[in-house]
Amino acid sequence: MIDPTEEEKFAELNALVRQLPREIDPPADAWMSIRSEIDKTRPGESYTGTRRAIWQRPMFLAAAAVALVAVSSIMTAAVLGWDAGITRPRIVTASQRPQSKPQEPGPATLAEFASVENDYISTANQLSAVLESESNTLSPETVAKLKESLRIIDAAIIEARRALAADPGNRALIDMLNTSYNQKLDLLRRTTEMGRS
Amino acid sequence: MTNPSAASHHRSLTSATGTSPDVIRRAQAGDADAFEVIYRENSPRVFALCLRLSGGARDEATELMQDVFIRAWRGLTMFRGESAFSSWLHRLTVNAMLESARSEKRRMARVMSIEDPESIGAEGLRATPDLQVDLERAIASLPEGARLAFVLHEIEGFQHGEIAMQLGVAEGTVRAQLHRARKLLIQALER
Repeated sequence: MIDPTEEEKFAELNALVRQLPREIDPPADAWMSIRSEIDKTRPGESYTGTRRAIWQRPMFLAAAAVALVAVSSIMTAAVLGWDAGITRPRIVTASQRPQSKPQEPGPATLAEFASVENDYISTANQLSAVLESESNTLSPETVAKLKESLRIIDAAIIEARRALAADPGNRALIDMLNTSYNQKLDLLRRTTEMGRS
Repeated sequence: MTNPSAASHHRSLTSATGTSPDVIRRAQAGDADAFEVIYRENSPRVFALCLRLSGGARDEATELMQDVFIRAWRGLTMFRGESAFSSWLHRLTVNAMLESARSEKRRMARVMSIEDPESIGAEGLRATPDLQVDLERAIASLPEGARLAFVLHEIEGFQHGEIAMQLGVAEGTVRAQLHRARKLLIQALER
């Protein structure tokens, strides 16, 4: 309940607000920055804004990709440890795996990565086709876990790709993308082997 | 409490022919000169809104307005003419503001604007009478939630429900923020 005095004051405030200008001229040079920006693209092309939201920033995307890779690792372990009735291969993480030879450094630049990305995609497609044809050798639970794990890894790849689009020189993001692809291939290979054992 | 003047102003914006459909079509086809016409016609209105929503910081308001128009350019093909162009632009402005409000930078700027009221929008408001300047400064100093509710309702003429949807809060929260804003403004103007 508003008391009459308060209501009167609100009315006075309203009267004052009504006098405020609805239009204020922007700085004269503001258009120039807009023009230089819009000359780079056409309507309909994607835009993340000159002031990116936090979820659009490379570091946030990188963090999201890291989280997705971590989740996908857990999912991978779940897939490979799922079919206890068939076989339960010991889960060996990359860090635990014996290193017979020093690991080759991954691509250092986006250009270098682009040259190996096609190989990744091609190999992943081949393995996926094999797995598809042999999916009846795996339990439905394993297939479901595999699909979910692949979905998460693919999401990590997409996030890392998006982050790289905004920050192409970021080596950590290139490593992350490389790791995600390796993880995808590793999962596909090992699941294929599991189906054959 | 409603503000009939602001409401009618908002209605006139949404029903006005505003920017001509031909200019919009040319801009949608990629004509940057046509888009400049759109900018010239709409920027004073958008800038006023940016200035108030961003708490009176002129540089920030300019950056926000530029962002809005760049977003508008990129998103022009999504404008179907179902509402007035100015309403569409208005929605873009509020969304851009809400996005930027979530950033740390934005929070820092807000703290500074509250601590240093003398710096608030003085350049943009130089030509207005003293009491209006006081009111603008008082609005700029409001806590963010109260300021957004007040500016969108009392100045821009949006209904409580519309504001609630735009800000992603309950309608009751908008009413409470408005009441709080009014009381704080009266206190500030009585000082």
